[in-house]
Amino acid sequence: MSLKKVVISSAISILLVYAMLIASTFYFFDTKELHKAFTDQRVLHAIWISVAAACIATVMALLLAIPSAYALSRYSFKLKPAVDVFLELPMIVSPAALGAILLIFFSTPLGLLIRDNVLDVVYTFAGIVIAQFITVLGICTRLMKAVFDEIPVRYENIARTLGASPRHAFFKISLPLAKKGLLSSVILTWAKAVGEFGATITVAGSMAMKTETLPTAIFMKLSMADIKGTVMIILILFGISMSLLIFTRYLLRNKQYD
Amino acid sequence: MIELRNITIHAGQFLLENVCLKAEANKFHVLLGPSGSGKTLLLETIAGLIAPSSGQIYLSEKLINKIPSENRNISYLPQDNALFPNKNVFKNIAFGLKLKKQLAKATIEEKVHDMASKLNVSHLLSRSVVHLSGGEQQRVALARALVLNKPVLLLDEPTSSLHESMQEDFCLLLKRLQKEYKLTVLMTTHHKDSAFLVADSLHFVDKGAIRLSADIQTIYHSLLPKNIAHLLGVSNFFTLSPANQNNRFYCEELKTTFAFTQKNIETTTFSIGVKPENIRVIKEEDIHNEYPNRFVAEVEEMLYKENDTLVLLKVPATSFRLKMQLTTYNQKKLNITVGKLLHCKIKEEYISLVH
Repeated sequence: MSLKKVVISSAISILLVYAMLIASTFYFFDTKELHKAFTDQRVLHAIWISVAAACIATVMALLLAIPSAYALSRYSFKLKPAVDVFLELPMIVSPAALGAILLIFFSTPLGLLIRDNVLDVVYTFAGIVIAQFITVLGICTRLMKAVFDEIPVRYENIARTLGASPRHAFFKISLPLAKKGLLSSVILTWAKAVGEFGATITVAGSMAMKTETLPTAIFMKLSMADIKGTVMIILILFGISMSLLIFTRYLLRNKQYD
Repeated sequence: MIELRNITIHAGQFLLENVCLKAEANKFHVLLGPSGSGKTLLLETIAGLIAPSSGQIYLSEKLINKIPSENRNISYLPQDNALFPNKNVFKNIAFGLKLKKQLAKATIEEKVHDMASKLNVSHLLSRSVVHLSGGEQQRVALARALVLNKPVLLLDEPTSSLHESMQEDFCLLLKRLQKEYKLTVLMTTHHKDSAFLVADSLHFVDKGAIRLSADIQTIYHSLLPKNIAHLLGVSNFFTLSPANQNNRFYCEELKTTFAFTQKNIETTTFSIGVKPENIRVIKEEDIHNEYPNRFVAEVEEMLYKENDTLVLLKVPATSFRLKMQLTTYNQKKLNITVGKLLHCKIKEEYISLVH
């Protein structure tokens, strides 16, 4: 078999594996259960909590990730290699461990001070946001750095010679050029936050109508052997995430300028 | 005037060391040198995009090392034009003007339209820059640089991406604009013909240093380093040593005597260089006439390039070879063929002293 056929077969096998897994859930599909899921206050609350927490966590991550990604892409500084390594932390440490680290931090004197005077994050909505934020921050920064890396620095340089200060060059040239890439990074970050499970359940638990998100709801339904209910929530989560990913692809269709 | 005093720049493994340059105001200066010689680095340093490790940069006698790029009053046209791909032609040209808060929208539009008209890009103003041809992109980038009316313009290899047929036109346009706006232009190129079309003065850059600066009128009368002479198209080099007579020197390679009446030769043995097109053939009916600097050579090979013929000559009884170039019309008229023995001459004014 030619190399071309081998590698294409390999790529298609990935599609088949995931498609088969998703298709298998339809074995337990029931329209009544779907209707029930969409009218169940607990499920609706979990959707709301997931979406709201993911939005806040994404905005928080963006505020730190955009300038950090730009700094990592454009400048050399002393701690750059260390920052670069720590961006991978959420990926190399399991989400449950990350959640446990968060819990441990909030049990230290500094953490307790924060919980008492600023925000209590244990078993609260804020806990979900913090867990999602910590989980997505690294990947969000990494994605955005890749976007800035793709934009040649010469555009900023030429903007400087045309009278733009470094700040102007960033806001008038780099940021608009990065717009589509950044938007796709935002959506991927958001999708990752919505699907976050390990750190969320460790920090915020899974209290119905309080801290239960879609992924933790799936876990709870499954632990009660409610297969059909589990499948419906999986499909809702899958539907939300896939819609966003397809939207991202649509946005990126003309990403290359030159 | 732009003046560089002992500029040293480190860029990775590359080093530009103790570069000195004086570029007179309102003149067209060309930095001529091979690729990788450090020309672009010098322009970027003058533009403020790279900070030198040491040395001073003066613009109109004012030290500008610490002045950021945006305040330097220097326009820069990079080799790839760097047009902003997310903006149309109008917005690209207007970019710098829009940063000037005191300019009214109508004034900006007027300036953009004026400059676009001057550079013949008015019909492109609403177009995306991504789909423009190389020549159009170049003119838009030039318009963007010139519209700010800065006194200094830095051009990095502006003709390198253009088709050969367009290079000459673009050079003439640059020269016209330089005169019209009384600009001090510093242009890099590795293309000798482009350099000679526009330059008032030439600065030769090689291996991280400026090796020679000279006025365009007197460049061939300067004492040229061999590599620079080569860059200027001088490809025949000979060594001369004093003959018995005054101002006469013997050339071992050509087995002939050269006469120098104008050049002040101080050394005993020295080298000269001659461009292939400056070697002339003496017509058969004139070979008995007296000509200075004449020699005999045999045609070994002929190469044709468009309207010219490059003739490879071999000096009889030696292994020395030299190149001669003449129009194909003359080659045919003089009946020059491989194996023919030619009587050639070199006029003194076409001889460059090299070292």
